[in-house]
Amino acid sequence: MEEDAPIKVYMVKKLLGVTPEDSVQEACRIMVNFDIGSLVVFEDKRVIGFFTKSDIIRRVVVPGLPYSTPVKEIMSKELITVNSNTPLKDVLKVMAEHRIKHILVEDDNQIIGIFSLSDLLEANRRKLETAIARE
Amino acid sequence: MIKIAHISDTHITPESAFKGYPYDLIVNEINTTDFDFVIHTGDVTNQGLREEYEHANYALKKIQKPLIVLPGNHDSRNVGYELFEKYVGPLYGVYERKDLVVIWLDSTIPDLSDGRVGGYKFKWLKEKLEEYSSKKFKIVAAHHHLVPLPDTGRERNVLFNAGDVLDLLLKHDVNLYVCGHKHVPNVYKIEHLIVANAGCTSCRKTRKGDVNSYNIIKVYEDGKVKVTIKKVTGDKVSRDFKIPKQRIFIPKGERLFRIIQISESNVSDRIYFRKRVLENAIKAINERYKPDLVVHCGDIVDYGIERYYERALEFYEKIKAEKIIIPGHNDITYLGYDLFKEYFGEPQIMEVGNHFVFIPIMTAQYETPIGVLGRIGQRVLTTLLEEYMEKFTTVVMHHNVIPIPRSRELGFLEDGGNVLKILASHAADLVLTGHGGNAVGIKVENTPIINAGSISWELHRNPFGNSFNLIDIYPSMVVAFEVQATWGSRKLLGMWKIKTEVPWKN
Repeated sequence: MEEDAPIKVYMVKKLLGVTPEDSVQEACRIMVNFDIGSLVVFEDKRVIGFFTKSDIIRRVVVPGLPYSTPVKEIMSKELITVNSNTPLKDVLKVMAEHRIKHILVEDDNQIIGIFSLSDLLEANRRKLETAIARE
Repeated sequence: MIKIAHISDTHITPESAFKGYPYDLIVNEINTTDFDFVIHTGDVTNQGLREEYEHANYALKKIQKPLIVLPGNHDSRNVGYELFEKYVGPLYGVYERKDLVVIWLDSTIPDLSDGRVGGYKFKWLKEKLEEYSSKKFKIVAAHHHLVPLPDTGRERNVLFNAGDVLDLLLKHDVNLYVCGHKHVPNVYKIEHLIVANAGCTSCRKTRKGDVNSYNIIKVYEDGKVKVTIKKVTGDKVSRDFKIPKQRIFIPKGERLFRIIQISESNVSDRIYFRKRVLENAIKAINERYKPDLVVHCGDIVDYGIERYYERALEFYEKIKAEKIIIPGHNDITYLGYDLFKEYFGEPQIMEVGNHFVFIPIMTAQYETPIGVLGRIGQRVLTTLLEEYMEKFTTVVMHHNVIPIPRSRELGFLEDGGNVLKILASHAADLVLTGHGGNAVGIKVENTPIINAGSISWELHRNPFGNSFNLIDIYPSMVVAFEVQATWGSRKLLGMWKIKTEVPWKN
């Protein structure tokens, strides 16, 4: 991990998403199939919303909304973003400030990537594997 | 718009290697048209000799435009890299123009033809990419190839650490890599990076009877790029690129096919073989991922001996899905060539359902990690890709056709340049490889090329640990994840929209 490297180096550059009218159930199906914790919401090639698995638990399951609820009703519309040239250490500060584990990355007012804290955990997984791999 | 003349391999010398006429012709064209600046990607001289540098110093002054020149392997011969600084200029540097930046560097190894961006130089490049991160258009220039190039003889003659360099350029959203070296003009789109090789501007040694040429690069305000190979005969070949910054994927439709791609099991009784990791992974493949097909891309055993093959068969018999297993170079050591056939059979072309075909390609050779397909093999591959054009074709082989991060370029095919060209120009829908001990997914033109890391061998190069790949094919996209062999956590290797003709569209 290099704290001074711009976040573009660490972010995922391919955005997976749904359209505003897609149902929560359809969104969950995509999350399971692709094993990811968040989705962006696109409208006319613009990102208009964002939500995570825990948003679905808090905003759909707990209040008891139907699975057919369109994602536009439960997505976060106030997007927290950082510019793609922001150094990693500053991005982490923004994430800590908002207590979020995923953050959207923009360039020229266009969302071009997503960064998740789990992307930094590779080394730990490798070490734990080595620890139990021995015969 | 910014217009750049990209010249290379001038090979200036009083001897016959240098052709003065095409040099003057191209320089005159550069001086009299609206070029903003010129990049010379090395081999200014033929042997790096003083008399050649004196001649070059005079010849380069004929170019009346801002000029970036970097050294090639020929310039570094005979300690020529010191003369380069005296007669031509600095060996590396940065050139800015409006929203564009060119970062250029010396990739030579004195007295060798191979290239390298060594430790300190790599760090310098990384720092410069960070420093100029906010520039809209970034160009990196060096002499040596980044990916294997066709018709170059020793086609794997890429940078020693091309995998790391390519990875760095992609991560930093570099728009264009320009180079020269083997006198073959070529333009590839690799993910969102354009890789432009210039032919030779004024050397007699053209390849395949080609003539001298240079490249014209136009960079437009709206992000469009046009690269033209212009030959001294006046012939032109142009390609236009519009590479969006935002890459959006909205999955629609049911999954059509699931592949588990494995490599480098290296089953053995050696300490490096992680039996428990392999057992757990096979269990997860059967119970959790339930693929339509399992592809093992080579090195199923560590040595080609009976005991190891017996053990490997025990493991892989447990996999419930259909399998394609192809040999890697470890598999054919000692008696392995025969044992592989005895235990796993000769790999066959496999058609699955109406849409999918898997083409195994044999590339392993005795006693060397370097593979080869050969000229007849290349024809066979071409014919098969043509024959199965109507299907979704997946080519399966052991050796790499793209460079792998953290590895030296030894796992390449000897004729990797030609093989890559065949795969890209015939738009193979998917290519699966398995050498290098690290997972990577990179699309060249319209063909995603995915390499598997090692599933159960401790000697790998993957920061994620032991892993295998999960590749899902949807009606409009291919998605590849690397799955950590022990914990099952996933990392996206790539998502690519299918841009080839696919059978289910009809």
